[in-house]
Amino acid sequence: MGFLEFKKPRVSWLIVWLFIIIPVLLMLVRAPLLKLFDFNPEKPTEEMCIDAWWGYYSVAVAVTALYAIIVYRVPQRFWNGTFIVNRIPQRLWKWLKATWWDTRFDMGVFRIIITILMFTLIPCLFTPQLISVGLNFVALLGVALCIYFGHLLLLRLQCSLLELLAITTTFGLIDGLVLSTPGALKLGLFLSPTLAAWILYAAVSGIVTATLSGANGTGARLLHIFAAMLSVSAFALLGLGAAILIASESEKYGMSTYRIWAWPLIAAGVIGFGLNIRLGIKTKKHAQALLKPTPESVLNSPVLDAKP
Amino acid sequence: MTDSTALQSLARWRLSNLHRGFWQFLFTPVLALAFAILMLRGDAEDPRKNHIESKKALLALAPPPVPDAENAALNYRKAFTAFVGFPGPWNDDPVMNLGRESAYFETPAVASFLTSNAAAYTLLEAATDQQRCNWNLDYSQGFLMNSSHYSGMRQCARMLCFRARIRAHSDDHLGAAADLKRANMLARHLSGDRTLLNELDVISIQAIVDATLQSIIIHDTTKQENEIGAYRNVMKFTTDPSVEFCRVYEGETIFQAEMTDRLADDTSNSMAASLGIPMETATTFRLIYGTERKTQQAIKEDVLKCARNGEWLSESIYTKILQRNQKGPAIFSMMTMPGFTRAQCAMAREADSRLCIDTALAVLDFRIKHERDPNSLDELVPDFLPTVPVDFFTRKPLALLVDKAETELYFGARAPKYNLHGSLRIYSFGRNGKDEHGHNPTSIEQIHTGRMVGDDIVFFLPPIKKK
Repeated sequence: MGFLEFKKPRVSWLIVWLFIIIPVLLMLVRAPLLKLFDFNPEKPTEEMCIDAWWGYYSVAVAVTALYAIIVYRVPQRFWNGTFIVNRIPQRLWKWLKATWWDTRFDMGVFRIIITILMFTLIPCLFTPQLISVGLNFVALLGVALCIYFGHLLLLRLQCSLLELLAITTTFGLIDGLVLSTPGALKLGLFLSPTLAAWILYAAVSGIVTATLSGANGTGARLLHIFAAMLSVSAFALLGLGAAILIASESEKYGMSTYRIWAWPLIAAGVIGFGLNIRLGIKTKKHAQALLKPTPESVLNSPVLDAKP
Repeated sequence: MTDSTALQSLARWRLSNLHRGFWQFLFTPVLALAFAILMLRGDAEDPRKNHIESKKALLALAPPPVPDAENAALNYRKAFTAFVGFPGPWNDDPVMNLGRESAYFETPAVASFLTSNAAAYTLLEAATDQQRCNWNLDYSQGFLMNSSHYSGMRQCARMLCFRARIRAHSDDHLGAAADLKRANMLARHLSGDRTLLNELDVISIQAIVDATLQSIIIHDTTKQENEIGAYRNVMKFTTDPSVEFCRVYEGETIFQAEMTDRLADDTSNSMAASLGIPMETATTFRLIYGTERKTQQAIKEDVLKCARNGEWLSESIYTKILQRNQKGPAIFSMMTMPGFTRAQCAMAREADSRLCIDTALAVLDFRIKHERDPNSLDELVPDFLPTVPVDFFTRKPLALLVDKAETELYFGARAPKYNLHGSLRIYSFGRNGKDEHGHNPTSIEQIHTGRMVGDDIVFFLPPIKKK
């Protein structure tokens, strides 16, 4: 299991992957990618490609730095307790570690804080004077979510290097395309943290599903991550597809040129929704078996040991 | 943490449907927005680059500079400040009662109002004697350009028309014609700037002149050929409205493009800030900016092509043009299209109105010479008109009609009732092309029952006085 048998990857490999291997792979697949996202043949694709690369590289640098700080420095100091000088906080820390940190995967307090943050955002969105505040809040909320899911992924689950690379690549591609869209840099910057949080949440969800289902192979875990990405975005895909379909029915919105996107989006949404249900049912069964084990469920469980 | 506790904590987390649903709900709008950006990416444009170009085009639109000594605008501005207001009740103000009965213009209050504005009239005469006019507007401001002179110019036109009414009443029709000519000059001085708002102000001034002449003809009809000739000279309409529309439309679309670029370009967001639009709204507007800009350009070419072919663009045709050229969401294009339709219609109506007035004056000429009314407009050809004029909307000849019933004319809420027996109507068929016998809800004809329908452009002539 990844989060228990975690071995520290070498940073040099991380750098090689992030800065050499993935960019080369992306260079090879850039033509079909650009063709997919830019159907206007008059656009200077080379220029946009460079823009997207800048987006990717900035994300890669940030991720490497974050990874190096969190995985190599911070946990060691956490586990050794060297950063705590006073005895009282040290005892408090040990108590917290024993009762809360070691027993709960999800830090509920963070979730509650983020939830409150989100509800404070609602009045901002409905008050024109507070729209700018609201958008800054979206970015702030995204950062908070990144920290929350980032800690789950890197500290709790301790994902593998390959998984991290897959996550980084996906984020770098999507965010690079959003940021390099002409005129959308500012809006893209507001959305970037939340997009990163989406990828991190999907990775957490995918790895948990894979772990509970006993899918420990590298490929299977990666597939679970991508399936989770699709299932989290299912409602967005379905909603956007349906909105385009409805808007293109009326001629006054001028959405007929975008009608071509409607059915692929809906199809992707339906697949994501289906995956959500399918994986949900499968994992629920294994999770219930773990929490309330019966002789029969222990025998059928991919993760529980049937031996006494 | 042992294996089993770790697995159990994962299981607990996985089974909590509530917070999983919550995250899904949270990410959905952001993801939808991000996917929408990716979808619109193919049509996206950089507002900064476009703004540099559109600003250049806008600055090139500014009229050439005029030396101060030749610039009528300076005299107009002085005249605005030199005006003395009417001391009586606002609804008795003579400049707002240009259609009133002649006796009203004889009252001492009106006479003293005229004399108290002598200095302003001198400045107005000096301004309208000058040929060149430049309002020195700051084109770099785009749509936020100062337009405070519009109301002042309308006031000037009313002042001149007011004096024309007094002069006509005192049988100085040549003087009245000169004042109306000055009012027309005033409209010409305004038309140097090629904005739609400017053109609507020009039309408004021309309509004030038309209404004044209608009042003069009804209340103080002239019986001299040379005076009618003077009026005809003033009211002659020389500009083809479709050519004029193309000129204004081209200018206005340059303003529109600059405004769109400025709204999307966050480096110069003074427009958004001054309109109270948060900067981030402009940022969101960038999502559809590319499609908006592309649609504007495509529509411009199409509309100009139609207008140059002499087509009068109804709202349904405009809608078709919009649908044909729409590249995606285009809010501004949709919002401004009805404005252009109506402006084009107003230009053609004004041109038709001038045609009707010229023809009506030719009928008056005929009346003086033959001491009777013509049976049809054909009788005016060739002595009084080279041909029977055709209107700009449908290219059909104008029509003449003698009212058999009594017609009540409306000259304002405080004016007494004015009834005519056997008045003449010279009218064109309007945009719908139907012969509605000169009826139109916005004409001076008063009705008390039912609802008047029709869109004919009409000019009334009082009946001939029998000896």
